[in-house]
Amino acid sequence: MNSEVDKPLLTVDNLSKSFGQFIANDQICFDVIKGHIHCLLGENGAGKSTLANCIYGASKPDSGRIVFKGQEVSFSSPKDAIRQGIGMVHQHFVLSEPMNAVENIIVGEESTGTILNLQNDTEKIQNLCDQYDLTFDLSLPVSQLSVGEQQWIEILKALYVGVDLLLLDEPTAVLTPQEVERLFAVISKMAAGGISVILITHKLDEVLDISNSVTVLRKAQAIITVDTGNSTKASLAKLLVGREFDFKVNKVEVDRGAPVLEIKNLSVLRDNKTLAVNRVSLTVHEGEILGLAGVSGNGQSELFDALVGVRQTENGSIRLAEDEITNCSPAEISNKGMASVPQDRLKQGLIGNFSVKENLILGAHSNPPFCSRGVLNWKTIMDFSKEAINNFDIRTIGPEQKVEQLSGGNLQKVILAREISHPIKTLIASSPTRGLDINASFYLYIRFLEQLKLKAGILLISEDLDELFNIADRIAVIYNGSILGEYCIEDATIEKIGLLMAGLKEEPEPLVQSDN
Amino acid sequence: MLSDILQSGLIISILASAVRMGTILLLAALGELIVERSGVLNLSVEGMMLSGAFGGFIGAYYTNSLWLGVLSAILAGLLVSALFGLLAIILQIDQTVSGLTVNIFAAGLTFYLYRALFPNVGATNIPALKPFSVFQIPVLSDIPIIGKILFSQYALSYLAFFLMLLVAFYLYRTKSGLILRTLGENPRVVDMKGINVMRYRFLAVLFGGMMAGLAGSFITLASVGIFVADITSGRGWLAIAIVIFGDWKPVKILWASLFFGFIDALQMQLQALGVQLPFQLFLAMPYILTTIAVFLARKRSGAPLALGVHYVRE
Amino acid sequence: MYKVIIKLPYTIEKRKDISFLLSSLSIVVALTVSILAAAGMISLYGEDVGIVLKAIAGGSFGSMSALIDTLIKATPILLTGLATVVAFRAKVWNIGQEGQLYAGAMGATFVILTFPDLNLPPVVHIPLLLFASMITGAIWGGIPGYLKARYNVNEIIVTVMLNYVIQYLCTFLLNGPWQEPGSYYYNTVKFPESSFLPLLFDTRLHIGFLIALITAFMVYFLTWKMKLGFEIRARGDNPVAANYKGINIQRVTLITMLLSGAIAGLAGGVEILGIHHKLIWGFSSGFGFTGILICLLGRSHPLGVVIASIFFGALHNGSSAMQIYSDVPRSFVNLIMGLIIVMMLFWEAVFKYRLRRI
Repeated sequence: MNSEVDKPLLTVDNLSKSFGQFIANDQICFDVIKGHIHCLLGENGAGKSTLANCIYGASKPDSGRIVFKGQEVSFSSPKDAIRQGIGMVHQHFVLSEPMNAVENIIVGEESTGTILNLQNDTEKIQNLCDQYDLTFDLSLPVSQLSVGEQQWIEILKALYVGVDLLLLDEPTAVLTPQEVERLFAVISKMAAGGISVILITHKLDEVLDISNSVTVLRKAQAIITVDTGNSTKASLAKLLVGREFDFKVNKVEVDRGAPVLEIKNLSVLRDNKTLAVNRVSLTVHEGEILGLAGVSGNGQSELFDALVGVRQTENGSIRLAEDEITNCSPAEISNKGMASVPQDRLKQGLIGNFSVKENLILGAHSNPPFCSRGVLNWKTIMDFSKEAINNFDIRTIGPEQKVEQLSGGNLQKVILAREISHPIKTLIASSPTRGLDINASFYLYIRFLEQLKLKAGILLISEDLDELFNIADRIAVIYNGSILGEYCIEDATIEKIGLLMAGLKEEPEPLVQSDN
Repeated sequence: MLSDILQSGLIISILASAVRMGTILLLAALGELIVERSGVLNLSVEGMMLSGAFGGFIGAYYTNSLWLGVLSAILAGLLVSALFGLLAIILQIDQTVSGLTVNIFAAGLTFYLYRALFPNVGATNIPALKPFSVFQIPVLSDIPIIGKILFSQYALSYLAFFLMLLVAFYLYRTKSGLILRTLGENPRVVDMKGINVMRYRFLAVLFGGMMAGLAGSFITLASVGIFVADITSGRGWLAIAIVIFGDWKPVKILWASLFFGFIDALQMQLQALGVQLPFQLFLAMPYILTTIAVFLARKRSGAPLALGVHYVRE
Repeated sequence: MYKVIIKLPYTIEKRKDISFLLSSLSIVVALTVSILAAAGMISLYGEDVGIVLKAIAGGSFGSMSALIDTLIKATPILLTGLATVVAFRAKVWNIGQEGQLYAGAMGATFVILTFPDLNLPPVVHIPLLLFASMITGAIWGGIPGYLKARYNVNEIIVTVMLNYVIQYLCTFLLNGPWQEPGSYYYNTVKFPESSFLPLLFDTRLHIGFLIALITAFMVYFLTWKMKLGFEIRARGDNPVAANYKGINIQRVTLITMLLSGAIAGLAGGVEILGIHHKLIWGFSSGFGFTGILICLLGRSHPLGVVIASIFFGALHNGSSAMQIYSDVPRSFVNLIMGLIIVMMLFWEAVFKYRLRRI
């Protein structure tokens, strides 16, 4: 490539940012050269998002400086940053669903006329699309576009305004492999045209595929910045991981028993009537954890909803031990011995305005001993709550405290206490450790493993492969609503699971021995 | 009886009334449309209309100018909507509770002020003024049938039609209208472009207040010329229902307003038609039909996605 | 034009939670501001604030007779307030208390007029009539309830519409089949004595007030001690999570409206059996809407509603006295009540923020 030593487009110089006691970024330094693609590689919690927020104007760093296009800059807002040439594409898109791409891109922009000139603007955007080989219907409402196409709108927003640097936050998390390919093609074109790109990711393959250079972040610090050309997967993995303590949980062998949850040929529709779950069959046995891996958005939420009884099924059956529970109500399914830990704690699992004790009996509130003949027995409920708080180490002022005031880990403990304080046959957990720190996650794993000894079976739906490899006995992979494959933990490797998660069902061809 | 109905004079009269009553609803509905399109559910339309009716009456009564009355009606609506905006948008109090509260407050305030200003009103000495008369558009009003229906209306009706076109143009053809619509679907999009969500919504609410006030003035100044308690008789609620029934689109709202106006007008004339049913049934007709209308509209897809939801920047 | 930006060394931020103390303080501030505003308006009117306040106090609590009147006035709005509490706790926005109250009154009337020769002792007749009023009230609340539960039709619009519909129906009946023969007025014949609500302690206070207090206790018990109340509150606070945990949201919605309508219907029955002893046009001076006011004032809590309704009854009573001793019109009271609610909402919201030195 260019052998000239260019002055970097962006220099981050000793940037630090803390939130109270928690240090998110600790004296981060790195450069980005014009026309380069630079990766910020790190795991969840390493500080990537905070750093990105500082660069693109959403947060103000506590110390350090940012030099952009030769000038030291301090952005007061994302709008300020974009005006100066830095844009960002978030993981969760910010789009108006019923409106089309053009409207989403031009809304509120200075270049948009007071009287709208949609034809003109559409042409401009179409030209941009042609320039980057983006082909999709600009007139369709966003709700009818695929996730990949929606992401393009986000990118177009930045291109339309004319950025010199674009940050992308975990852009491939929601894409299919083909969409990832197309995205990378667009990014490469952008870089070739002089626009620098910062790609935030935790996937080693992506780094190697597309970047010129990479900064590895670990525990709030920038460990090192290397040229990708000089790196291998192994070398990067080593830099990335470097853990201080062993993450492994001690699993005690438990005998696998009879099937306790049998899902046969299950099909479930989304709200918009498209097929989310496509003839899925899974079996969970007593004493085992079946992990379900997959990028979120491949049908896991709908599957969860169908299993707990909140969503209708179109086809297929669900059996809980001896009982047929297909399309039963949530109350019935719960009474038959199913426990569930939903993805969104405060939205799906708890009532924020209710007290801890009220949340602890939610779902069981119509059953004895908490309720008899329609009247709640608050004394019994109080005793139960005190015990549960003790048992599960829930950090709270007391059973009367409103649950919305608790921290994430304690919220999860409340849910857990509620679900497993009585004997259960099966537990379905969806991303249970999302947003939790190591200690809180560990606590959850221990309690899960306990249940196995009590002859329960657990279905663990998770995006976190570390988690699955840590505690699952088998791992299945869901992709586009179908189960692409299943491995016993002894046979599973990250590569195999990763391939399935990316939708590649076939066995990879045997590698030709080469310099690797 | 049939021959009576066929007398075109009666039908024309009904249709003309329909346009008149419909445009009152149209004005309030257009205001509420803008408010709801920005994502705010303002349930105090009834109170705002009542304030407009009162303000308009008072303004006209004391200045002897009907148009100044209209202006004070708009001002009254504006003030009441500003109170709603303060509660619901700035202080982020639940929009439903805010709307209902402002309704109650406006009703109390108007009634009190009226009694305070006219302490000795009885059945025989109600303060009254000479209302607007119909403004016949030259030439066009001479067209047989259509002329009587469409072109011999009060000035405020013509204004309503004009405003409808203006609102439609604003919503779909202007930069600001695009921002407004986006606010109602996903306010975050607008926020990230550096535009002040609260300010925009507040302004939308004020517009709704002015329109409701204007609609209210129509009731006192263009038909009866007096003010009594509950003179709006639920028309504010009809306006809200019309927005739903019209799927949040200006043209459909126009038709819905005219339809409801037609029912209203019909109800007044049915006795003249000699229909042998209790008159209370006809008085109740608009309300029964509104209930049916919102039932039929239950699957309407045009509702702004962020309607009624407070925007909190995360 | 130059923009002047004043930068204070403070920033406004939202509190994480609001303590009970602060919450109560906001109510105190709201009441104080309202009273001051009221005093201001009175003196603007040219009246002596002292005289007016004394008149109000005297008219509301000054004598046994005044106190009785206050409690009598409080009764129907206490009940409609409770009806609103049940609904609002579930975040089901019942605005139809006025119509459900009419339905209740008409239900009791229907039984009396249809069975004129029932010679039942009061101890049987009265509960029967009150039960009928609860049934009809429940039906009138159940219609919007069903539409909401099954079809997600906006209950605010339907309940408001049905208010008008039933009042017209009532007018029709009172001007037609139910009209007292030979009368020019909109009322029925006088009800039989066995339907009169008995009076307490030889005063004019009928047991309706007692019934209302008992209902208040029952609403309290329902909301916090019973499973149904738990589910009602759950629906109001987080219907999504409630659904996940097995609560049948549609069922709760419907039952809430049935209950709310029943209590409002009871208010109607109590009022005509306790005061008028006939169904007479205008027997309700907006009791239904006032109930919403009372619920908001009482913070959707039965105890608060009891206090607020007595307070309102007192003010209403006092306003009659006020009218005798001054020129301030009666409707002043409605305005003040409205103002108090606005103030309460306002100050509670304001207290949710605080100034922080930067």
